Amino acid sequence: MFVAIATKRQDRTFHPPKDFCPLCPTKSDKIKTEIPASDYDIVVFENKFPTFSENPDRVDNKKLNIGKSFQYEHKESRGICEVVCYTPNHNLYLEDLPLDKIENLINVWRDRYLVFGGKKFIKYVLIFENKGKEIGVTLSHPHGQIYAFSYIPPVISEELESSRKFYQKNKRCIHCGIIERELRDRNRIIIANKDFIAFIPFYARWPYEVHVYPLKHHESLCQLNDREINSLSSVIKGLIRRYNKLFDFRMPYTMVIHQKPTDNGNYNYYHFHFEFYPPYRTKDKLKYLAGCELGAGTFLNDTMPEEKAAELRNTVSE
Amino acid sequence: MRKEKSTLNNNSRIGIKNNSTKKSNSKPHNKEKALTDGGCGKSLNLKKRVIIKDDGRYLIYYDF
Repeated sequence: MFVAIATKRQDRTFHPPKDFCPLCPTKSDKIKTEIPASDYDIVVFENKFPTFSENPDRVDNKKLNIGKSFQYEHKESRGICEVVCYTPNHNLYLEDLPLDKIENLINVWRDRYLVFGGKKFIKYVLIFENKGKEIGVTLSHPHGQIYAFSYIPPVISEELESSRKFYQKNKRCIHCGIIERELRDRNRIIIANKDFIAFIPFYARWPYEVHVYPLKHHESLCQLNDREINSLSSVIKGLIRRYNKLFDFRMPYTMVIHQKPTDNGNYNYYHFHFEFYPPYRTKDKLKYLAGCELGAGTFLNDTMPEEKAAELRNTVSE
Repeated sequence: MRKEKSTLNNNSRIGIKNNSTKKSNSKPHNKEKALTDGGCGKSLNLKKRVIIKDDGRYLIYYDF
């Protein structure tokens, strides 16, 4: 496990009134936002309250009382944190965007992955979205984030290691095997098209956890062709709209994209995918991480993935 | 547990082991390759405008 201590984040903007949204375009000289232009398609910028930065603060050994016998392993929080604004419209969420706009966003994600991947000190690029106050989001304007790490984070590292071991033993990708199994069983699938599949995995931790995979063995978003990008846009939109329809409110979620690291290693055993973690287990009950999850690393799921998948599958996406 | 602290750079270490801190089996080579395509086989050539804000942070407009 890693802990990133970033005390300046305590001061970050917290649920500002809509008229003072820092992610809306600047409409008047009196209220300047993060984005100077009066309109935009998609914008990315350095996070004002970053966890990691390219030039992190130097240590003050004296202040922290760090001497030669200091026993804790630690290093500077080097990396890059970006915000990605999907749209200038404060009320237009990812799932409300037309498919071509979602395709544009996927291309921006691809570009940021390439740009950060080209930096020597960046080993991993995590693209993600936190949505909804239940998740802890402090700005409601539709946006995502990108964290570029100077190391491969532990969840990814463990997933890579499992994938590598399976590949070594069986001479095939474990994720391709999972997709084949899901296509055979069918009962955990939410949506599938000619290029992508969305399903609640057999091993789901959250009741409505969904993973989205390309059917073709790709290691990162960058390997998608135009048709696959269109197919992915359609699945993302369809999935989130189903989430919203399920309980008749915009479902909060965390969405993460797991891609191969950018350290130029050989990851031909890895298969990129999206993971969605909505926190609700019923319309009015949240699932919390408690003793067994936090203290023992074992998730308790009160539901059957097959039943929850049927609920989402039968929720007609408009 | 490994501690990532923005204000620390001391080189002291302890040997606390954890599965999640295992090194991957990657074999770093040819960093420049990632600079060009990262496995895409082509560069994206997106239209973008970069500005530097008053506080020194960059901002990039992607135009479609």
